Amino acid sequence: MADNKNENKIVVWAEKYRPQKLTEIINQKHAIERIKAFVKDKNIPHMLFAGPAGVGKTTTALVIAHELYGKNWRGNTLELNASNERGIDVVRNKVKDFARTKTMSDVGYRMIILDEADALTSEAQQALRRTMETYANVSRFILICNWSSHIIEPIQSRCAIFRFRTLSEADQIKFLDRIVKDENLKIADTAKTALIYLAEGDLRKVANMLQASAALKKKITEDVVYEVTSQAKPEDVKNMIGLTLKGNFADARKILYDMLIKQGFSGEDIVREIHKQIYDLDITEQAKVELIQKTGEYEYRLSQGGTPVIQLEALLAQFLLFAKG
Amino acid sequence: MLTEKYKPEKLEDVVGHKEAMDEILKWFDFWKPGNKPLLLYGPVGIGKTSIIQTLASEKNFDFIEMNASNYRSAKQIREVIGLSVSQQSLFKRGKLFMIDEVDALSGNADRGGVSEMIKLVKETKFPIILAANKPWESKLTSLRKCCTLVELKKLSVNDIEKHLKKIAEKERIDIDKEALREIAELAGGDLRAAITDLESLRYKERITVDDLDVLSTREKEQSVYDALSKMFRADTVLNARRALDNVEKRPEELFWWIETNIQSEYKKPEEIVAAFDALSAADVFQARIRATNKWRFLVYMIDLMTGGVAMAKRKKRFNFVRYQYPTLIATMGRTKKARNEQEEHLAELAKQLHCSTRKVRTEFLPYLNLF
Repeated sequence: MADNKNENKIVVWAEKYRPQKLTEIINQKHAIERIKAFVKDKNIPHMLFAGPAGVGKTTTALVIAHELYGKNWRGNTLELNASNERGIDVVRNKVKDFARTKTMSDVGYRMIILDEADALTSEAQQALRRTMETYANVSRFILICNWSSHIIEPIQSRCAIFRFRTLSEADQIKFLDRIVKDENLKIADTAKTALIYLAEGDLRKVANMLQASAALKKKITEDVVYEVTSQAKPEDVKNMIGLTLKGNFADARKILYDMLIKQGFSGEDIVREIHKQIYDLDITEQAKVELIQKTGEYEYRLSQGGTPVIQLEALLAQFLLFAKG
Repeated sequence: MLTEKYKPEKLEDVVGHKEAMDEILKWFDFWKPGNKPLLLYGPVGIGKTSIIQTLASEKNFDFIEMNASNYRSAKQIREVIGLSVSQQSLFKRGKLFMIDEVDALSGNADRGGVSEMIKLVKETKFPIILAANKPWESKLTSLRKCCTLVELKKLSVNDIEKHLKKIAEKERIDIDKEALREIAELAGGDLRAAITDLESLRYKERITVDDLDVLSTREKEQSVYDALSKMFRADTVLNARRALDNVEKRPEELFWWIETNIQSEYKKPEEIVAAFDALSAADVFQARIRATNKWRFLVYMIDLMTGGVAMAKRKKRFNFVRYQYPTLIATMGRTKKARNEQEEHLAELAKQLHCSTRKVRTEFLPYLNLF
């Protein structure tokens, strides 16, 4: 982490090329049309944005704030991230403090953007619902999530719901080309195809992979793109499972500790990565079925409040049963 | 009691502590009202009280000893000795006060405790010596600042052995050289414990190493390493559970001792799997305690983490295992600064990139490192 400061200075393209106006947002026409009307009247309801990653949900919310409040948007907008805040009480207090101060604009209400709202438990959402009601006259909420079904019905019924769609290949190329032009990049068409394929419709990923590729080589080819994605792939989980399958539990455990404590990954992130990797392991298919079941079991314990180190160690130990030699 | 009988009569009889003695004498000889009191600290049974007693008698001072743990607050101490502290003695003889176990003073519960003590030591017309085992507790911070600190270190095995030998000769106790050494070692720096042990064996005609088994079975505070060994090797759930009874650590901490040492103890895959599965189940109960605030669930947590883990063995083991300090506690301490820096860094990035720190870690960092 010695180069912290340098990293801070890097302009991240995903941020640099984030649209600033509603008209710049790629596709999502059905949503944008309605939103334009709301913004024009400066009369917006609570809104719920649902959809896959990297298609413009957060961007749209930020753009709305820009368009409503102009230069003063920051003072009139509270950005919260449900997966960052510890518990609903923190969210509630921040909302309370924010809503209490008077608005400095002619809009008449202030905006609260709650990103990753599906990270809230249903109890927390119940509390959120009351908070929304309490401050409805002075604030508008934009809730952002991947799945609207993860949001409790009483909240859904209070919101105008906007579904953000997966972007077409053409849409993604449009975004890609904009960066390529502005940054003067040399990129092969096959590299573009590879980027789009690997990004799985996520423009944030497109921008990140492109920037990493450009940093690696002047001329971006398909190979460069694959090189970048393989370098960016977390090898730790793979190595950890590999060591366990060789019977070396002690070293596997060290990697686990490193990921959880030093790198600060969440237990869920790791257990999900483990699950993904089971398919490709060099063990019998029966063994895979067993391990998948175990993975589910320990992920469940984790979701019940289990301690990540413990539950993941227990899961990892299960792999020992299929160790060779 | 031999411990009483062989208390030092003169300062030169004191066992060990050469440097500390010099500091104490210097403090005492130059003490006048307004000077700092002495805070004498060190482990139990190394002679704090007897040194000060000896000092008082050698200097012809009245020795007045109080124990802070007998009083609920320093205010009570003040009431008891307040008068004598602030008024000159009617007699010419000086007084030396010793207030033992100041670490027992109520810190937060009774806020007055420590500050009252500070007031007392500032007003006194007579020298006061405070004694403590753990002077670094945060509640003693302000008191520590207005004291002259002198540390009494653990006594060496040699010092204890020499002293025991002297006593044994005078008391005509017949004891093997090895046994004597062993008692000195067992005492772990505590001279009083060593003398007590010697006395407890004097009914024997001749004390040999074999007789010392009696001592080790005496319920001292058990080291966590011994307890772990007992736990892992237990043959029943109940015995595994009981193995940890005398360890002065909370179950939540013992949990992590067990976690780290599963792989020290077990080598067979089936054993490791079964042990971690039991620990995982214990962990679930730990989560349930947190979720419901019902401490009743603690019994299940403890049964599973002790009995459950111990019953994972497929065969009995007798080999020596070097148990380890909990990885989690060690890692947390070692990486604290780096983790804080990383968290700050991530939070800053999250703000700039309008997303959660988790997303920064999983979506941006892998690429950011390549930019």
